[in-house]
Amino acid sequence: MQPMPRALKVLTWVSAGLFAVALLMTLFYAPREAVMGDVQRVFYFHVASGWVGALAFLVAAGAGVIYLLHGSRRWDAVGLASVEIGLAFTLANLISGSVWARPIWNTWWTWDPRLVTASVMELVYIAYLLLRQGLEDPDRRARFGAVYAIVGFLSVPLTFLSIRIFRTIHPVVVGNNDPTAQGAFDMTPPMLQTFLFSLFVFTVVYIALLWHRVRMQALAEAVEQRKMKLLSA
Amino acid sequence: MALEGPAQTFNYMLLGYGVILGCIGVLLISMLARYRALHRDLRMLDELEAQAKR
Repeated sequence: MQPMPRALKVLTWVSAGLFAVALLMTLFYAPREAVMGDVQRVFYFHVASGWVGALAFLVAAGAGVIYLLHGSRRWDAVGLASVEIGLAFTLANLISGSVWARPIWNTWWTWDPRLVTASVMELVYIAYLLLRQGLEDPDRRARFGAVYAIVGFLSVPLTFLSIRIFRTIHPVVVGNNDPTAQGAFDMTPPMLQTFLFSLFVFTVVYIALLWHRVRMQALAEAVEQRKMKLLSA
Repeated sequence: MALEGPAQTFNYMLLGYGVILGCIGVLLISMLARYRALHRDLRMLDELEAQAKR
């Protein structure tokens, strides 16, 4: 195993620092929303988590395409790593949305198109991991995983567009709200700055996590190969 | 009746942050645990290979 690159060390510390700054901005720089109160602050990390989830699944689909074209296992590792990270952030997005909904919509859960499509998206990618677990042959696993990541990505634009196509109570951040939306608010300049900074910070954190996870996958494959070699000796 | 001020939702905010930080924390802990397990496996493989050579 090669030592951790200096760039990754720097990126890790920078992303941790930026994350702390973003957290402080959401708590102390962004003003309290006039109607919803403090729970609105969850919005900054809620949307940023959803963004990272979508980005991670896009990267997994892209890695799938490159794997199918070139057959390099490194891209399979990128796809797997990205899906794992995307799942964690999408889960954070889903549950934090539910926590926000309790005081604003007066319910933890409702069968709204956005909530349903986001949950389906999470399940689609949990199934990706289960599919991989069920396949022994590494090449077959990588090939199936690549195809699945590409097809599964359809759930991402569907989730994004669900609040723009269907009748919904979920607020829209970019674009016009449905007249039935509940919990929408106008962003003041400090709110907008905090929101955009959170999106940037979560993207940096995602890149750092992806790099670590891909390195770990390379280590796992090296360990597996050495085990096989030892067993066959 | 006029609204007197923002809704009292501080506890929900704490829960929301707890959930987000918790999910990221679980991911980090899981990655760290797997890193450690892999390094343990590597050390074990080194020992086994050294024994096999002797």
